[in-house]
Amino acid sequence: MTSPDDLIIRGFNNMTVHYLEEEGEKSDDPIFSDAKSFKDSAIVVDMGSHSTRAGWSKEELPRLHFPTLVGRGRATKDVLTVVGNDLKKGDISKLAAKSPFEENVVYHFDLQEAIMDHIFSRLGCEGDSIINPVIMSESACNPNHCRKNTSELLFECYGVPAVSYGIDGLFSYYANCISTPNANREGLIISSGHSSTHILPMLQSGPVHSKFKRIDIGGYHCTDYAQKLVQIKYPIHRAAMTVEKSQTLKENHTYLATNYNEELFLFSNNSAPKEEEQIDVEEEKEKGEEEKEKGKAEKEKGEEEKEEKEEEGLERGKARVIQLPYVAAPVVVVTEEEKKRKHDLKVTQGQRLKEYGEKKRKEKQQVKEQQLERYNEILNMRDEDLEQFNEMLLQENLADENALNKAMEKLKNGLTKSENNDEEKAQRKKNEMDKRFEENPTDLIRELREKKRIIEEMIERKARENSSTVGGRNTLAKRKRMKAITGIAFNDADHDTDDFGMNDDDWDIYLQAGSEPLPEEQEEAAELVQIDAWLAKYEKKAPKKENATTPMSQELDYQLYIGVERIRIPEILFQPNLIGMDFTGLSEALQNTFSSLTKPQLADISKRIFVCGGNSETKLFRERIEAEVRALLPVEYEMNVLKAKNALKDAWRGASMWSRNNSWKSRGENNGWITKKMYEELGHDYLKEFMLSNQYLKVYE
Amino acid sequence: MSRDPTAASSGEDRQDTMAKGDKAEKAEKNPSSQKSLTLPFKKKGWKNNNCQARGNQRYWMHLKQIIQAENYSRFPVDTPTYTSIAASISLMPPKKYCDITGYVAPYTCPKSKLRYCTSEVYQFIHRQLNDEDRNKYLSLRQAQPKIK
Repeated sequence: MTSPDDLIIRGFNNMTVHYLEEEGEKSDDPIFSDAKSFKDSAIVVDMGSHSTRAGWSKEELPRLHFPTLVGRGRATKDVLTVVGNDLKKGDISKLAAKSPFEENVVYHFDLQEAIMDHIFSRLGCEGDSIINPVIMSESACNPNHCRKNTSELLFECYGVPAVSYGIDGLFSYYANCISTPNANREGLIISSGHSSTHILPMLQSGPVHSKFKRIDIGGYHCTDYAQKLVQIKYPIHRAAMTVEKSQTLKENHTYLATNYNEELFLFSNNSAPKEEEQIDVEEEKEKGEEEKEKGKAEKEKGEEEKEEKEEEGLERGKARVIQLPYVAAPVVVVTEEEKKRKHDLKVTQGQRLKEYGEKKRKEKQQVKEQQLERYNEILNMRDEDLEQFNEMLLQENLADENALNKAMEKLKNGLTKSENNDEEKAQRKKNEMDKRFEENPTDLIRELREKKRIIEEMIERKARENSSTVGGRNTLAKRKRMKAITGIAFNDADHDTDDFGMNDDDWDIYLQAGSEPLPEEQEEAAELVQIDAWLAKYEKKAPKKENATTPMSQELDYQLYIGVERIRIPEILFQPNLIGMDFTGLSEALQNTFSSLTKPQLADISKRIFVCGGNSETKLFRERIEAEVRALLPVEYEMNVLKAKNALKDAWRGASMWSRNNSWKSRGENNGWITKKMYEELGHDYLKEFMLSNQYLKVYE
Repeated sequence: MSRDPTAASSGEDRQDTMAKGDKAEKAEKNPSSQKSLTLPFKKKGWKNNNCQARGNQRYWMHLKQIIQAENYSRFPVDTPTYTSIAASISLMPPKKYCDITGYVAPYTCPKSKLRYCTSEVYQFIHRQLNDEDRNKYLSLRQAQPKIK
C-alpha cells in the first residue's frame, strides 16, 4: 500500500502526463430563419437539468444544444437575459446564471420561459403565436404542479395547438430499440442523467410506473465529488480546480470498475514504489526528469499510441498524472553587478556576525581570567591571613580550600579548552566531513538527512508528550519540573538554616523550574542546527543539484496525481455511502426491482437492459451494469445490456421519431397529444397518457 | 481664450456620447437582448402568477414545497409519485474505505473517526493533519462532527 506522502510527493516519475484541456469558448446558438418550411412539423424540446436540445421533428438531429442556464443582469433599464451558449465563461458568475431545475424537476418557471423564448426565437418562429405542436421531455413521476405551469406557459403565452409530455429515458429507449410498431417492448431502462438516475421497467403493455426507481445521484454529484477530492488533496490548487476542470477530469480520466475492490487492489500494486527505489528521493527525481526529457522527444509517437490504448480501454488500472495549466513565473535576469552586490552584502554580514561571536567569546574568557586571578589572590591570602581567607571564601560561595582548588582547576581547563580545543575540534570535524563529502557526496547527504529526521522526530515526540494533557502527573513535562525542583532543593541543602519562604522572591523558583530546556534538549537543538548548516553547505556543493528551479520543476508543482480517484468518483452511484448518503446504490436498487417482478416478467426484461443518459458516458458503465446484473440474475436467464448510440441526443431523437409516427391530428389510441381543448376542459395539469409517458394522477375532489 | 472652456465642455460631452455609443453597440452585439425585446409569438402581458410576488421579487416554490403541495397522501398507497419512486434506505452494510487514500479500510481512528488502511496513513492523520483538514475529509462522507 502507498502512504499518503507517496501519493503527494512521489509516484509521478516514469508516468505519462495528461493535460486537462478545457473546451474552448462555444459560439452563440445560431439563429435560423427557415421556420416556414416546417409548418406541419412538431417542435421537439428535450430539456434536461444539464443541457437542453431542441429542433424540428422532421429532422434527424436537434438544431440547438445548449446548457440549461439563464443569466440575468441589469445593463440598462431593461433586464438583460442571456441563455445557453450565449453565456460566456465570465458571464456565468457575473450574471449569476441559474438553472430552472432543482434536482430533476423544473421549479423556476420564469427561467423556463426565458429558455423557451430562446428556443422559439432561435428556431426562427414568426407570427403572433406558435403554430407547431410541442413535444417535451419530463422526468419520471414529474409533479403535477410542474406540468401545469409548463402547459399554462405553452398554451396561454405561446398559443401552442397541442403538447405532449414523455419520459426522457423512455424516448431514448424508443429511439434505440422499439421505434418499429411491432417491436417487442419489454426491457429495463437505466437512465443516468445529470442530477439523478432512474430505473424504468417496461413491459409489452407499457412502462410499469409503480416499479420505477429514482436514485438521486448523477453526473453532477460525480463532478462535485471529483472537485472536492482534488481540492482536499491539493489545497494549493483549490482555486485552479474549477467546476469545468473537474468535469473534464471526470469525463476523460475516470472509469467504472467492474469489481471495485479488486480494482482497488490493482491500483495499490501499481502505484506503490518498489523498495529499492525508495532509498533515494533525489536520485529518483533526477531520473524522472531525465526520462521526462526523453519522453518529450518521443512525445508525438507516444501520444498516438496512448490514444489508441485509451480507446481500447487498455490503460485502465493505472494511476495518472494530470497537468494543470500554469503560467511560468517570469525569469528574473540577475546582472553581474547585482550578484556582486549581493555577495558582498552577504560577506560583510557574515563578517560582522563572526566578529560579534569572537567579541563575545573574548569577553567570556576575560571574565574567566579575572575570576582565576581573584582565586589566585585568595590562595595567596591563605598564607598571610587565615581569617580573612575564610571570609573571602564565604564571599565567593566556596566551602573550603578543596572547593577553591576544584574551581580553579575547572576554570583553567575551560580557558585552555576555549583557547585551543574548541577550534581544533571543530576544524577536525569539518575536515573529516569535507573528506567524506569528496569521497561520496550522496552518501553523506543521505546520512545527514537521516540523522536530521531522527532528531526531528525525537523533538516532535517530546513536544507532543509535553503538550498532551492526559496522563496526570506522569507526563514528561511534570517529571521534568519535579526533577528541576528536587535539583534546586539538593543544591540548597548546603545551607544549614532553612529560611526558605522568608523572602517572597524564594517562591519564584517554582515559576522558573522546568521552564528552561533540559541540557539534553539543548544538545539536540544544537546538533540539529549543526546538521542543518552542513546540509545547506553540502547540498549546495552537490554536483547535480544545479537546475533545481528550472521551469520544469515548476511544471511539476502543477501536476495532480490521480490514482484511486479514477474509480472512486463514479463509484458513488453504486455506493452512495461514499458521499454519506443512506439510500440504495444502483445495484441494490436493481436487486429490489428484480425481486418485485414475477419470474416470467424478469426473464423478459433481462433480455434487454438499456443504458442511456449523459452519465452513462462514463467509461465501462455498460460493463459494470452487465457485471452487476449477471450477479443478481439466475444463471439460466438470458441477459443483454445495450447502450444508447448517442447518450446525449437519443432522448431528443426518440421524441422526434415518436412525434413523426404519431401526428397530433390523428385520433389513434396511442395519441399522447394534449390539445388546447383538453387542457381547458380536463384541467391545466392534464396529461394524456401514452406508451412513453408518465401516469396521470387525477385529483378527485 | 473665451472658447477654451466651451471647447473643454464639448469635449466632455463627446466623451459621454462616446460612452453611450459604446453601450449601444454592445447591446447591438448581443443578439439575445435585442431579440428578447421583440418576440412576436408571445402573448403580450401574460405572466405566470403561480408564485409569490413581494415587490419586484418573485418567489417560486422549491421542490420540497411542491411535493408538500402535491399532497401525495390523498392518492392510494401504491400510486407512483415523485416521493414513492425515490430509492429506499439501503439495507446492505456499507463498505468502509480509507478516507485519505480510498483503499479498503479495516480500521477507524478512535480520536478523529477517520477510517484508514495502514499505519502510514494513521501517522499521516496524526502528524500532518490539523482539525480543519480532518473535518474536510470527514465532510466528504458527511460525517463531520455537528455543532449543536
